[in-house]
Amino acid sequence: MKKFILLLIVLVLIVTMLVPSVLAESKNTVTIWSWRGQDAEVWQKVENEMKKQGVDIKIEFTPVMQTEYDSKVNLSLQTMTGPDLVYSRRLPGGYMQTLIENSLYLPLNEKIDLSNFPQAALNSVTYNGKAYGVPFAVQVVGIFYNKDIYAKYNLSIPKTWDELVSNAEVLQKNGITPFFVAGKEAWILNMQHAMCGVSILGPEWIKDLTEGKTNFLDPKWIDLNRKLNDLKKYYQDGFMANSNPDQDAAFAFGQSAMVFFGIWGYQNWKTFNPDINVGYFMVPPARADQKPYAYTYMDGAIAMTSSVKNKELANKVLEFVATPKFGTIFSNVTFNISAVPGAETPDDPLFKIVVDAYNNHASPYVYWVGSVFTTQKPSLGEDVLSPGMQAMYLGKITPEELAKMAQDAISQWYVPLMKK
Amino acid sequence: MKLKQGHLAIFILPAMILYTIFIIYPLISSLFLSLYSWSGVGEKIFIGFKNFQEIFNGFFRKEFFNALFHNLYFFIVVTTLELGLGFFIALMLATKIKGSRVFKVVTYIPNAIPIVLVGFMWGLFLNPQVGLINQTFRALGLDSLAQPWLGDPNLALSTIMLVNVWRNLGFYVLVLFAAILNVSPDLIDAAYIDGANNWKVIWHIIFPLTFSTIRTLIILLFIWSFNTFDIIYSLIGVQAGPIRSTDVLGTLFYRTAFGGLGSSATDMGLGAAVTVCIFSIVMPVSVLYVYLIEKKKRSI
Amino acid sequence: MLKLGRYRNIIVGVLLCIYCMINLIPFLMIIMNSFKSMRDIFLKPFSFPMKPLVQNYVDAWNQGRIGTGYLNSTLIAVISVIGIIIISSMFAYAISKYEFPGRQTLYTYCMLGLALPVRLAVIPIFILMKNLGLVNSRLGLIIIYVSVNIPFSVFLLKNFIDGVPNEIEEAAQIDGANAIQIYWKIILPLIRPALLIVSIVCFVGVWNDFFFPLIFINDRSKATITLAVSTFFGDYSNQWNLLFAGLSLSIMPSIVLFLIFSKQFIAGMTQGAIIK
Repeated sequence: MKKFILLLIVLVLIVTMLVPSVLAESKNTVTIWSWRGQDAEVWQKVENEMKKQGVDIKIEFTPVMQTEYDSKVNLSLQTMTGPDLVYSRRLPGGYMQTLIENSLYLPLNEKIDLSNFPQAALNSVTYNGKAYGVPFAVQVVGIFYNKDIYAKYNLSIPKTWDELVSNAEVLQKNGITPFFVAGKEAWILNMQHAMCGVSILGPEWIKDLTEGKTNFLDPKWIDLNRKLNDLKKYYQDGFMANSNPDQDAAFAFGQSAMVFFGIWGYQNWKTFNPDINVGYFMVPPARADQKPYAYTYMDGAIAMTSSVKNKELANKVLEFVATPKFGTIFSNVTFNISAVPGAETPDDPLFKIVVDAYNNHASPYVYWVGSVFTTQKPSLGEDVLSPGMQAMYLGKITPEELAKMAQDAISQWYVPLMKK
Repeated sequence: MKLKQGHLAIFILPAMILYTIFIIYPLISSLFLSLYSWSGVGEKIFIGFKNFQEIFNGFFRKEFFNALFHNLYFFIVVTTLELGLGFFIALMLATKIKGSRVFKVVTYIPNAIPIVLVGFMWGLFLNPQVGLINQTFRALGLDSLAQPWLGDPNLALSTIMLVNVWRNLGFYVLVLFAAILNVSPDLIDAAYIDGANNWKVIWHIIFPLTFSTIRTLIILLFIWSFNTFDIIYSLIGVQAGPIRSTDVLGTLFYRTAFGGLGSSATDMGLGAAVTVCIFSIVMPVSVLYVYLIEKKKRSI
Repeated sequence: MLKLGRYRNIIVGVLLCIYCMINLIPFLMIIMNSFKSMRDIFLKPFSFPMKPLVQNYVDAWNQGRIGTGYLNSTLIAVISVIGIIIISSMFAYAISKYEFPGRQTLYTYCMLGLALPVRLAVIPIFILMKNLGLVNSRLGLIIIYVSVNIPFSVFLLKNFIDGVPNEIEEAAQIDGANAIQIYWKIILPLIRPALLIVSIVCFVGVWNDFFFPLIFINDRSKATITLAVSTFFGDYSNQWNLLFAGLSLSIMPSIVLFLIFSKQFIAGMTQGAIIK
């Protein structure tokens, strides 16, 4: 008798296991993966909008942790267990290239109209003449600061690096943490270096680097390393143990005055603290006669994967993503700059400043995301600056050694910098 | 007794089929895979022993031996703490008659939770600014003790080990307690009558008689220390920062085989080679262990 | 057992109490913090939540998909354990009580598995599952868990079955029973204590596992509780109030279950795990 009951329970459990998966294989669901958890609301609105247009659709949006995203996508696409649509990275870039070369991303349907997009956006998704995704956002990174704190201590936007340091000095003397840095997340340190580089080294220098006219052992590069290393005394105590969410919370709650980050953080800060007054400035150059630059890049695109189950519906979604309406929804929910031209942007002062930086001050040459230095391994970002910045901040290597690390790594595969 | 062929098949085959296909075959396959380079998609490229060359002499050497060293360090410190403290607490429990049931249950509670969840729990407590540990120090005026526990390369691994001990100690306390109780009370009473004090009783009677249990536990701890992964994943992440100071062979393997931000190489062949190395370290000890329990069983 | 003087007794009592507090206080802090708002957690860490925010629990349950996690973990663990018990006991019975060529070799072959750290073979297992189409499936996990636990279970069960006197079986055989009937009606009831130990150890092992779900499961609806909490921590890493509530939801029931069944649980784990 007891065994019979046990068997019954088991049967019930097995049935409950199978039934939901059968139901979930609904013909009207399109699944999307992203590293951007904050976009959930965007896709809800997209679903509503598409339903209004008469499309019977349900969009299932799944965020995946930033640090696991690329490997999870890779693995799942290989095993054909991936989603219909995915947020892809950009070209040039190793991740996207590998997936395209292995036919894990499908080329876009001709019906999807990309003619309005600026050439730079199209370049980030085109491989061998075919487009593999619809670009969704442009990111702008730089220094975001708490306007109220700045006002309280009569600080103004620094025009040179030294002014930035003296601002930090004033703040520290008054008991405010000048910069909150999430040292545990190496990619943030990587980004910090890159955003400083476009102003302090300048696009001309980076162009020379790209063409092989100078290399990473250049004293200018070492000097930048040193500047950053010297800045760490203005970071919060124990900064190597803090991660991104700590940074967001500390900045939002006014415990620190400045962060090195990107505009995508704005949504989070406002959610934590709707009263926060955020400002932005580009990292100031070394000398007053130089121009500051902003690091901007194509964040990525929405691509269709080889695991797609609902191809027709997924195509409809992609068509929508290429329209200004999507851009409007996206911008207004996330306060990010949509890649789609013609989107209506939110009437927000910070947003306007950041858009201005993108339109008028973007550095034409970069060395982090979207640069030639990240197309192969060892990549300048992940394999050199990420661990290298951590090691330098921890005092394990010197600024000179960090430079040597970069040179040794990149000269292994990047032809212009190879030892002659 | 003899058995009909058909019945034999029914009894033996399911276990053997599953075991062979999903355990033995993959292990052997790992050996072969280690001779290839393979990113997971596309072609496998045969490269002979090159993966091992990289591990012992090439670019992977530093990372591999760093992780290996951490596993050994982990084993030594954790074993000493868990068995040492465990024995001490078990002894203390042995002096109590009343309430030992309650103590036993409370001792084991952390052990009832998956390690991963213990890791997430302590991750929150160890946050340098708002975590409870540092908040407590600050509240007590001991500001200097409020360290970035998981951010300082000198402290991170030790902190992880302490969390591990917190979770697992209960198991060792109970096992050792059972072993201590197995010592015949007559022996102890006789010793007391002979005038021995407690320390002598412990050192000359209890310890030797529980030694075989302790030895078994040490061997188990060796095997388990080399399997560490969950706690590091939940407290630090697979990158095993800061600057790989908490890297162990488990995280190194995962990173190499499955990638993730910050892997220095993503190659399943190389991952398999790491596996083979771990294997050759752990296997002899495991075999020793199986041998010992078979021997013990036969001698009963 | 050991005797102590009066003062030492008190010291020992105090030390044991301190040890107990170290074990218990973290859980109390989780519960306490799970009822606070984020601001309070950051700014007033030691305060008692005067207005408990039960909403935290509701949100954590929904966003963290804790319910789904429990369902999946239970499903996978129960089915795995049933599979393990049946398959291992059949094998152990045949090896123990019947003579056939290759019997000792087969047993040694099976015992090899005790010494092998299976996690390391995950890459080929992954490839195997991919070819079978079982990646991202709970069935795949169940198959892995059953296979992994066979050596340990066989070892434990065989020892126990060895202790069953042959006369009982011989008597049954004379009465005309065949092997399957003997197995089902006689042997299994006799080895019930060993089956219990195997069930507990394997159930706990499967329930607590994180490694295999991490690698194999992509679908949120199929996540086990460990994977669900891990994902939750990744998604909501800045909402500490929800994180604490999520932890509470995923930990407390295990603790309560443990407290109820503590006797069997402890007996099973300490005896069984030694052999594992």
